[in-house]
Parts: sequence; structure tokens; C-alpha cells
Amino acid sequence: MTRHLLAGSLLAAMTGGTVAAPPLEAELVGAFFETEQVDVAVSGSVVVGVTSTAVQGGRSVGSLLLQHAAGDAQVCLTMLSRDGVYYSRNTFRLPDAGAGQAVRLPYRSNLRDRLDSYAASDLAMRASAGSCEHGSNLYYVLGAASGPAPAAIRVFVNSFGATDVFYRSAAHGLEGSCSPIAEGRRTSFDHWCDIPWPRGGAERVEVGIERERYGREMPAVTLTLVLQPQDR
Amino acid sequence: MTGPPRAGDKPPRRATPRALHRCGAGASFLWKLALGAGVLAIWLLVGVVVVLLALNLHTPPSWYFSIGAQTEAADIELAAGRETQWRIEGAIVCATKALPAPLALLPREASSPCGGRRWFAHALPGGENAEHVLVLGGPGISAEGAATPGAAPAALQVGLETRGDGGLQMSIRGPGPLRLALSGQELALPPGLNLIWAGEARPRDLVFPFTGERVRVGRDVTWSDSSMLREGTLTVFTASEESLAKRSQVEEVALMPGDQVRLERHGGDGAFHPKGFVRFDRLGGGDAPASLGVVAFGRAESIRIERFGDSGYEFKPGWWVGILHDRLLMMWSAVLAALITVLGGIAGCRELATSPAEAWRALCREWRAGTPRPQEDER
Repeated sequence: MTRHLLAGSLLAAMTGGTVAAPPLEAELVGAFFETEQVDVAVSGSVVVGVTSTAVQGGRSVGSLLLQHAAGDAQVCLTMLSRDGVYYSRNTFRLPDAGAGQAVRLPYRSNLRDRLDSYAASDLAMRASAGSCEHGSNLYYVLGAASGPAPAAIRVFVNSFGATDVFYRSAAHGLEGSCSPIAEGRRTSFDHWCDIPWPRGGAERVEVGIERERYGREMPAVTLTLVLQPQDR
Repeated sequence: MTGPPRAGDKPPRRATPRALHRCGAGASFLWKLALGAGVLAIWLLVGVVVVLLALNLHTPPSWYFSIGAQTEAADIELAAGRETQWRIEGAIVCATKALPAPLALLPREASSPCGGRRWFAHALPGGENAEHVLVLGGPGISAEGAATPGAAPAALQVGLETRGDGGLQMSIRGPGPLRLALSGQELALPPGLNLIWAGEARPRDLVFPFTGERVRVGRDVTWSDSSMLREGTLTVFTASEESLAKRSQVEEVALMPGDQVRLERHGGDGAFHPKGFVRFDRLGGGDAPASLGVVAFGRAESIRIERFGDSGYEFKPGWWVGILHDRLLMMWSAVLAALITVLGGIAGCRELATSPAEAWRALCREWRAGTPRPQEDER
């Protein structure tokens, strides 16, 4: 309860003093699953993480927020460390009457020490619509209940050997280059794209991730992002 | 005539020559002096070894890592502010805008080696004997791209990878300045280039020497990419003034196919940049496909080997290896051990315990005595 009040007051502060209801809390479906394995798995997905820049790696996992979009009863939350050692995949049920509201994802990890050691560029988090048994290209932009208001959406990309990675959103006039991650191991992802927060109060944004390998185009990926209400 | 000794008479003294007594006492003194000096030397050497050991543990020796590998992919971040020059004859220059003459703009077609629609392909002028030198990096540049001495220099990222057709492709990214030197003429190039040596164009063997911020040899193994390290060795050296090569090998490990090795700039006292070169052998030995030979050498505290299927490990010599390869420490330790062995062998503990001063006093007594005294057992 104290956490709810704290998160609510922080949300209110971020929205310029508007009194906001404390975020609802999602419910974990099934047993919590996470692994820490030396035998590193190689991800097969291009988009590995979608968060706001307010999320600062493993320290933020206890305060993850998303906006409840109408029609989605469940979300699949995955976390993957850049070195591939930490991986988790869990389905959460969203509150029934919570459409349009901020929902907190209770992440009760038994490996908090390891998570805390992951900086912002070391841990990719992704919340996709639906349960983990069904894939989706609709992603919730995860935010943190604490920290400054985010200025950008951060997409973590596994480029699979691309030399150039771009993002493009024709509807919102957004395009730019993604940044390669040069230091450290890059098993799970090797680029991140900081996409400026769309203006005009959009709730959903379509973004394309395009890749080139020595000039040759690789298959593009289109994803729909659900933005957080407090960050608009 | 002297009669037989009667009962109660003292036995006659044996007349030992005084000089012999003096010589014996002198030799005894010298012997004990030598033993005392030896014991003192042992304690001094123990102190020296302890100091050297402490120094070794406090400031471990410098490790120099050397990578020699045959690979299909390598990445180099060139040292910021340093100028690097590479010959690039035979390359197709791909830029995101059309470049001026003497570069020849090639027609845009689907089969262009430069790939997508963003890129313009250019052929280098001249024949096979022409010299085309790509100048990478140098002084800092302003936001407009003009060379500005005061601006902070930026590093360039260079990726190299062999092509399936036996050629080579290179990507150069970053804001650093790029120039092309063509027969005495210099041409400024835009940031962000791809250079393609197509296999059918039969590029000559190429060598790219570098001084970098970091070097990555090999690539993470994924299902979507076949480029990887094929084989190689990783060797650790330590500086050695005694060795003719000024370095002595500490350990060597073999790299396995699929390994990825990273060597980064050492930020200790002063900056130590990894150096080396990449050699492109157009035709490998026998039926082997084209490959990149990478040799990189640099100082570091450790080097990381990342292997498919595990999280990688730090290749770092331990403290014991550091002690074993400290030549000075090893030399004085050997002298100490030898001295203890020699002294322990030729003299017992009681001899070592005898004071040279006591031997000196014994010598003085012998020297001053008018008549020889009965022989006493000298300890």
C-alpha cells in the first residue's frame, strides 16, 4: 500500500501536479520464471526491449509501469541481459477495469543482486500484448515509477550483424540512426534506438526498425508502441 | 738422564709452537667471521626478498597480450586523433551521397555491390598500378566537418568481414575525418563509408595496420550470421630486460572456432593503445576461403574470451604467475636459497651461533699469551 501511495505521488509530480490515482497492479499468471545460466542462449528476435529512458537497468525492475490498453487482458514481460546470462519470461494479467490507467508489474525476482548489477545498457525489457504463448508486435513502453520524466523511447535491437540500424515513423515524422553498443559483450543485443517522445499526445506509435549490412538491406521490423499516459 | 716420573709429579706440557696456536686462532677467527657475515647476508637477503615480494604484489608486472588469429570478421575502434592510412586499391567506394571526380559514379542497379538505395557506388580511378590511400582520422573536426585543431577528436569504428564470393567488405562509421589521397590529390570524404572488394574483381592481398582504442576479433555466434573466428592463439608476455627479445612468454592458449576476443586500451599510467594489423588473404591456403589474418598486441590487465555457449572468461595471469615471472625477485630468492644451503651444509647450527667477537677475543688471548696453554676444544 505504501508503495502504491509513493508511486501515485511520484506520478502526480511527473504530470505537473495533477492528482492521479495510484497505479493498479497486474497479477502474475503461473509460476515466476527466470533463469541465470552460464550456457548462454542466443535470442532470435530483432526487438529485444522497449522501455522509456526513465528505466535504468536492473534497478528499475521493481517499479515497472505500463499503460493498460483496452482489449488486452494479459502482457508478456521478458527480460534479457546483454551477455545472455539472465533471462526471464512471465505473463501478467491486467486488472479488468484498468483500461487507460497505469499498471504496475510486480516483479519478484530471486536474483535481485544480479539484476542490480545490470546498467541501463545491459538489460533489455519488453512487454508485449497477450500471453507469452502468443507472439505480438504490439509493445508497451515500460516506464519506471521513479526517476525523471523520460525524453525518449528506447528500443533495444539485436541487429544480427548489421552495420547500420535506423528507426522510422512516417506518421510522426521521426527517423534517425540507432547507436551501436561498442563495449562489452553483445550476445543478446548490440544497438539501441532512442526515439524522441512523440508530440501531440499520441497513445500509440508505429515504428519501423530498418537494418543494413554493408549497405544491403535486411528485413525491416514494424512494431506498435503503446505509450505511457504520464509521459505524454 | 731423566728418571721415570714419580707419583705426584705433574705430566710435562706438550710443547706446541706458539706460531701454530696463533695460526689456529687466526684461522678460527676468520672462519667464524665468514660464517657471521654469511648469517648477516642471509638476513639482509631475507629483507630484500620480502621487499621485492611486497613490491611485486603491490604493483604487479605489466602483461602484454598478443592475438594471432584467422577470422572472417573483426572490428576496430581507431584511436581518436591519430591518423591512419590504408591502401584501398580495387575497392568500390560506397557513400550516402555522390562523390566528385575523379571518383567515377557507377550506375545504380539492383546488383550494385553497395546494396540498398541509400548508397552510391564509385569506382576508384586509374588502373591496377594506381595508388589510392584512405586517410582515416586525424585532428578533431567541428560539427560542420571542418578540421579544427581545438575540437575533441572522435574515434572511427571500422568493421571488416569477408564476403561469400571471396572478397572483403569494410564499414567505416563515426564523425572522424576521412580523406582519399589520389596521386598527390586529396579528396575529403563524407563520414560513413562502405568499401567493397568483390571476389570476382580479384582484389590483391591487403594489409591494414592500426592503432586502436579497442579491437574485437571474431563475432558472437548466432544462427543468422556465419562469420566467425576460425582459429588462433592468445599469448601473454611480460616485459623482461634480461630476455633478448625484451619480453618473455608467460602462457599461450589456443582459440577455438567461434571465439570472440576483445583487447581494449589500457588506462593505467599513460595510455597503451592496442596495435596490430589486419591482413586480407584473397585466396586462403588450398581450398580454404578468403580470410582475415589479425595480429593485435597491447598491454592490458586481462583479456576477455567469449565462447559460444558460455558467458566467457577473463584470461588473466594470477598473482603467483606474477611472482614467478619477476626476474629480480627470482634471482635474489635463488641467491638466498643457495646461501642458506651452503652455510647449512658446511657449518652446523652451533657454529652459526658462535659470535665473531668471541672468536676475536680468543685470538687476542692466544696472541698475548707468553706460553702456550693447554689445548682447549674450540667450539
